[in-house]
Amino acid sequence: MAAPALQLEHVSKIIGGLTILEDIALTVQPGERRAIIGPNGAGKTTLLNVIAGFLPATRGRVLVFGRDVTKLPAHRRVDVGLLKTNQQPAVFHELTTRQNVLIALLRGRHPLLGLGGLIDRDREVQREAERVLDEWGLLDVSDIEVRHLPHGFQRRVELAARFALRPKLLLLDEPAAGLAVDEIPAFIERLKQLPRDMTVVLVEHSMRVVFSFADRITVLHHGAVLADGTPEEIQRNEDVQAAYLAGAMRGRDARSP
Amino acid sequence: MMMVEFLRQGRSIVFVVALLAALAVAPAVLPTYPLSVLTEILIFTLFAMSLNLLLGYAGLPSLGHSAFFGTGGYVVGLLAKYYGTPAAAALLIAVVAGVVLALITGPFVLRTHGAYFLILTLSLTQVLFGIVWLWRNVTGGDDGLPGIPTPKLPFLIGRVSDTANFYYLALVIVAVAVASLGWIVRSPFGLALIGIRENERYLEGLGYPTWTIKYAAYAIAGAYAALAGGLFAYFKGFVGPGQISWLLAGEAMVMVIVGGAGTFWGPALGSVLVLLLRYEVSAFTQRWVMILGIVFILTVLLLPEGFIRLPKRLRDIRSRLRREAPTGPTVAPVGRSQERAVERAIERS
Repeated sequence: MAAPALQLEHVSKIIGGLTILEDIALTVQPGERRAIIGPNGAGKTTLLNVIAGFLPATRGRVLVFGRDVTKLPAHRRVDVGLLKTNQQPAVFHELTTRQNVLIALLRGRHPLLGLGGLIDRDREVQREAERVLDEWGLLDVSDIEVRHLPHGFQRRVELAARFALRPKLLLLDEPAAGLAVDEIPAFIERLKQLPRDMTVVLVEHSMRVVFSFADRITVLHHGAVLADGTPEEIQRNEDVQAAYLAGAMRGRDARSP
Repeated sequence: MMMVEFLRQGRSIVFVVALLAALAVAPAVLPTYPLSVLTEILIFTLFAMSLNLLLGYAGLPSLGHSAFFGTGGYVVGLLAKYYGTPAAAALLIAVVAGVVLALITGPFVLRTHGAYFLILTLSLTQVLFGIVWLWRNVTGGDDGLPGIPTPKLPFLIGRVSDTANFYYLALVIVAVAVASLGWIVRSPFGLALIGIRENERYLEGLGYPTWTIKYAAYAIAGAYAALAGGLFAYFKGFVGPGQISWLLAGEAMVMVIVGGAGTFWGPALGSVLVLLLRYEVSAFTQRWVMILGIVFILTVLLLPEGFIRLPKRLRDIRSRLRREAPTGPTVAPVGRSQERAVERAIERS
């Protein structure tokens, strides 16, 4: 059997004596859509940052497609196909939409840290950027600085730049945060269209997004895994009900049309 | 879109050619003194542009860039004094020394950001200042190293004045250096530097080795600054502690900010403005530094992106006035068309 897309073994994170994550074990199979949910402060974002390499794990191992990346810095983890989005869209505000896409596409393309080429002369990358902008409906705003764009567009620029790199494991940190309620169905559709050769780990508060997208759900509570299972199992789980889901599910019902 | 791009590129080529032509004929029309001011402007343009790579592009506010300028100057001075090294070799060694200094100090100063980076680079230049000040029997202490022979372009000897000869030498070196800087900022490396300024962590998340890129930028900036410093030592025929002092780094910083940090030509404009103020205003009043201070404050307040943005700023103001005037012509200003593009895109999605 192929190695899991993501495997966490006894991962702990202690910051200033405070245990944020405690002995996390998690296995995500290739192609799976996994949601990580939990109340605020459960350690969801910290967990994603440990996986992506922005925070070192205090203990434990992180394996991506069977490769131990625990000691690798964040930029080296991109080499094994891992990319992460941010709660605040990780875009470069003073750059145009096109430059945001280009900067992703240009990674490692030219020798000497990129000194060995000129952006304007690289016709191939220009065409590819054009294609990505078209695919994401960003051609109209391609030469506008991203800071002038509304939040939903900044999110789209962020996703376009990351997908341009064809990640194999994508970590999404609250991608629906900041979207208007009527934008969410279209957003769920877009998530569902992601190719199945991509594994997705999603941290999200919107239960609508979680339950319509995830194959399996992991519930974090006080930095530890409280439950792990299919959406149906999680909905039936009494611990989860007590800890978290009851309130959130009421919120979800209220929001459904 | 392509047309606009083509026109913009065409315009910048015309600009560069015109600038080079004007600089090439300058010795024919300028008397000796203005020509030497122009030479100094060229050298400081290179120095300010090298600082701009760190301060403007990568967002690393170095207040110790004179360390490299001074190192270049002292390398040239020491080689001339003790070994009589020819200028071409001495300048090359000065550049190498700048790179080596950057590679040694980089791991220390690049651990920090913002104000801490500023203080560490400032300390670096102060340490070097202390060394040249105290190591009197080698560096000449506060007397510096006088009598550095000015190199000349051999094929121009006898045809133009000595001032013009060195001017052409500086022009060729600075033009080649500026062209190579132009390559750097238009390369993927240059875009990555802006990415670091904007958000280093996001760039790392896209798989860029941001620390290595900063280290390389620091070394490159050090190389160009050392070249400028070496040229300046030849220009003055002298190198002294003033050329390694943090005050000089501060002056370069003023040039970059007044001209336009993070723009390619901004530092050149800043170097013109600061040096013209120094040499022209000082003819009328001793208080040119005060006037420079006022110019600096006004720039930061009114033209936060530097003097290079003055034409655009004037256009913006004019179009805003036009929009407000009820009887004025209804020309859509730039800002509106951008808003409309966003609206169109939103409707379509």
